[in-house]
Amino acid sequence: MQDLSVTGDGLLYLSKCIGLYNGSSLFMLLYLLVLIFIVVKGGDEWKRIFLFPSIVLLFTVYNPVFPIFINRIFDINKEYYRFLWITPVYALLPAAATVYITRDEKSRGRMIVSFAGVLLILMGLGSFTYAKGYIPKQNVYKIPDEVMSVSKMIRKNTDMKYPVAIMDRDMQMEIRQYDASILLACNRTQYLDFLGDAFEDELTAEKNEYVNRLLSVVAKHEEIDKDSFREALDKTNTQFVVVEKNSPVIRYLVDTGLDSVGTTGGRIIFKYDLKEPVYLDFADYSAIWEEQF
Amino acid sequence: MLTNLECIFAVLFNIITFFVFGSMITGRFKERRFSGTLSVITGFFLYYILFEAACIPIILLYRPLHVLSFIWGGIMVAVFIISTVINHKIWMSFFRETVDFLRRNPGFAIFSALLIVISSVIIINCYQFTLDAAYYVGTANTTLFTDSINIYDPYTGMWQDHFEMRYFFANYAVNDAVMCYFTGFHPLIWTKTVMEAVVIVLNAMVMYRLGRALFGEDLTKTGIFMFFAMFICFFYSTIYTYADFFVTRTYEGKTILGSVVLPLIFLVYIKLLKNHKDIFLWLLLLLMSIGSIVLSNSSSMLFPAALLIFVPPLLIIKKDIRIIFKSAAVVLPCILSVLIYVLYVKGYFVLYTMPR
Repeated sequence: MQDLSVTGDGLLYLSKCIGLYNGSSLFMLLYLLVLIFIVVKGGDEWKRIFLFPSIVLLFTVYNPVFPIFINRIFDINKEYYRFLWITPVYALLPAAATVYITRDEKSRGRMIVSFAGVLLILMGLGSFTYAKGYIPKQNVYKIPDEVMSVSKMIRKNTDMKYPVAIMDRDMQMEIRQYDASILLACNRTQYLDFLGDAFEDELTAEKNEYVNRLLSVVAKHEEIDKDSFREALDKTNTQFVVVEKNSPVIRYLVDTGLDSVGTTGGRIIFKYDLKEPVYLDFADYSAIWEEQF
Repeated sequence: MLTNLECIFAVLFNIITFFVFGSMITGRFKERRFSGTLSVITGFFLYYILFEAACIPIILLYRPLHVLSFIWGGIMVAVFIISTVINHKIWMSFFRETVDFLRRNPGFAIFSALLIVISSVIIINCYQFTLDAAYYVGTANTTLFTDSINIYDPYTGMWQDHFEMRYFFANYAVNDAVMCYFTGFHPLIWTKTVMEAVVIVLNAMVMYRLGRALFGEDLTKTGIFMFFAMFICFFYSTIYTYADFFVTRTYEGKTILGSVVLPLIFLVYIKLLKNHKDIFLWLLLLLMSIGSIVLSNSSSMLFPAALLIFVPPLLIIKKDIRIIFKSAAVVLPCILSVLIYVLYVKGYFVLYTMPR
């Protein structure tokens, strides 16, 4: 939904949003077909349970004006799809499948054939979560082993309790889930906005100046002025730079004066000698607690 | 192997805890038949509401996580004792009924257990990279590591000068940190294994109740319904669907919103169609409304929207104007949390992480 905008797409926003939401899956269409079946042949109870709320949904969540209205109060550009979760696909499709399969409970054979048929239909109309492969976890932490190796390598090469680092996107997103003692020079939003060339107003650009320099090199592989990069490392107190082994800026990092202190399966860990390292520690709240009681 | 066993115990502990908490409410409605699944579901929301009530003052007093942990530990022990004292007779008769039910329906019992175990094994053993984990697991790990609550940015670990109000009430991950403090689990294991399994069990319980609501006592139909409800989750994957969140990001608060809270609202709607004056159902909705805020900030909008979808049909069918007032009362906590957030965004107030 990153590319959709209620203001930009206007009344078309909803249809685009639904398109992205469903992707290649036709479950929503199946949902509609079952609803039509309920209209034609369904009993009163099923109409009350499934049809009536769906009509309300049609006039609200599935009304192209609704996102425009909501967006005036909240920015829902990226999150409108969550309103589509309200559609009881999770109940109607399984319920319809159950009714179809058990329509003649006396004939076990017919039930088994119907069951297999419904399975095939759902598999054919759906989009399988593991279509691109099932990647088993490597360890109990459910992160790549390499995250642990990078953490260990950083800890081994620093005298700081809380060293600051900047890393390639994937490592940056996972390292602190495993090791919260490693601090990062920029947060997720800054990182992703920078990668996505998001607009920055003057104030934000000024605030992010040094981080943006780091990201230019680490995330976008741009070879900026070396002094400028070193200045950014110093200003952000960043001692470690972790990049993928195939990153095109490895030579650049070496030329800038960073030392390679270790490699893991797919990463190289560089260390920078900070001019004036700041030894960070936790904020001290003891005086406040004493004052409170 | 040891970790696997510990995780299984942790999952069971969570389910038992929710059952004990939920019994405090479900056990009070003598006219209703005591339900184990409904007690667990009710207890889940009550648990997080009470946790929030303990958590917010601690945050506002800038107190460390270990203080919250001890307070929460005390509350849990108190609830366990009180609930045991007032519910033990109900539990005894419930366990007898459950054993009897399992004896009469071994096929259904085995089938349900297999469905939960197989889907858990598939989901939990898969490696999934999601950007949001940096926040959810990052928060639990940062909170535990820094022995503070929401003071350090989970993405960077840097000190924040003010609390981020978007997540101020969504303290689901803080509870993860508290449980890690008690159990010694690494937050990654707690969130991505233990809580994933808990969410899968909760989802299965809601689907079981939905199946029963739709097909009555027919357990064959309920079983088939449960199977397809789970099966669809693996085949409705487009990174935006509730099903994809359920399979790939099970440990996130908003996943619980999509795979437990929203189906539960639908279930309550079906029940209200039968008896719209059932106080318990309205109370459950209220608990869900408040509890959902703790799970995810998205609930403040999504919960009222979901409930409002079911209000017009209920109103037309039941022709009772009080449904509007009850619904309004139910969504009030969500509206209030939205208002607080809007006031913060508009710059009316800031909560600093250190007094000024």
